[in-house]
Amino acid sequence: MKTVNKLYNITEMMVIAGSRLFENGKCVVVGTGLPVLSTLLAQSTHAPQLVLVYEAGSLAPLKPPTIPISVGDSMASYKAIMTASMDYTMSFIQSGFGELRQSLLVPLPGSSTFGSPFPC
Amino acid sequence: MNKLNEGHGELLGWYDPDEMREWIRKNKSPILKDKTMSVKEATTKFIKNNSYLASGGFGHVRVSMAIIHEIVRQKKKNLIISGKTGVFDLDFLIAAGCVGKVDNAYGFGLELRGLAKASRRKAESGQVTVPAEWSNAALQWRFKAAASGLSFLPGRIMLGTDTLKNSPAKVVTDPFTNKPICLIPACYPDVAIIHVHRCDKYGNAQIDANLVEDYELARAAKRLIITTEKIISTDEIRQKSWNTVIPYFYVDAVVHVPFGSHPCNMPNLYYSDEEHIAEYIKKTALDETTSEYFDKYVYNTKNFKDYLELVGGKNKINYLQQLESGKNKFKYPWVKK
Repeated sequence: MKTVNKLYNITEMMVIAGSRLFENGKCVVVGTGLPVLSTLLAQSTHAPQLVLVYEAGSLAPLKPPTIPISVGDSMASYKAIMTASMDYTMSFIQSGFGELRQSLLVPLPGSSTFGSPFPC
Repeated sequence: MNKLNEGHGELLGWYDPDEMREWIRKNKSPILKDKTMSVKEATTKFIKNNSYLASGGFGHVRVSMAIIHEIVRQKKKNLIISGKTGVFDLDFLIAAGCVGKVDNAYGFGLELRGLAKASRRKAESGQVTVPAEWSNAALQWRFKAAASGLSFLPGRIMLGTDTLKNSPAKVVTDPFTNKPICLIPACYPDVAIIHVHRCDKYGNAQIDANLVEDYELARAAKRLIITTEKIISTDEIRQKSWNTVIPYFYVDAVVHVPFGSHPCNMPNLYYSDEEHIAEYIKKTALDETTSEYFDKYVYNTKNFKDYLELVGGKNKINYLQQLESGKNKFKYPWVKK
């Protein structure tokens, strides 16, 4: 993995830079890949009341015991308020809810992790 | 309505709703009928070469892997697959040589695990084509349009993107707002395969997790195969009818397959088998070793039960159940160190 310096690599830098964009008390629609890591980091540090919405249908899950591999897996709906559907979450966004979205458009150089563009 | 723009993608799976209303009246019945059958029977009966197939769940979550294995075992060819968050399911079918076209929103990736090398290789060499691209919202609203008996649904999506250019969607002036709006054409897959937590013999199905697109897809598909972790009585269904998400009259086959989503995640029951998925990723990274994987786990196993024994049987299942309930340690063997 490409390193920026001895303290962190380029993926870690992106995750941390991304997490700083999230304000406590806002609602974020999370795309797959690095956005999952940066929103969970924000939730674990400066934004404990960041509300997450994942496209597969989970609304406002709590911090899971491990990192979700998929935005539709059990960890992405850990103790969620509601497990709904993609029609529900996409309609939620289309109607104006969710102030923030995070997605990555391209695979990061030297990284095996990638994020797809947020699909709505 | 004034047409402003349209994409050049191929329109797959679309029918005139009047034609489909006629088809439904001829082929779907409100009579209660025992629809239980084997994986082999359901696959033989309802999945043909060249079928447009949509796999329920979320690509590697609540996926009907037992049917996907049988499609490979029966060597189906030239399937058109809905890349509606196609992840492990899509890559598996492409790697095995069963797919001709992908009607694609999310495909050719394995989410946090990285890119899907096997399916990318086939697309890059032209063995698999992508005649249309969609956003995830667009692709799932195609099922909603079909489920509602409409030829399209309007949506505030894809506007101004290259995804629109590569889709067969059209943009018109919304007659109420006078602003541009995207028209998303309906999609009626030939067959859908959906894995559920429990179901009765008639096909009344309940899911204890995100529905993803299955609420709409179950009603959009011409033929619907349900695989289920558990068969329960109709009395139990009626006692908690609010949990039913797919009623029997849409269903064509009910197949009882415990742990039928392995190596994928079945929410509330078992977590994904990352050790097995890592082996799959490693083997399918090259054409030469891809056949070793399919020989070992599909062609040389009699059925899904046989495959489950091969991947570790009861011990493996116990471990995956423990992961799901947070009682064991997660491992990510595919992470590059």
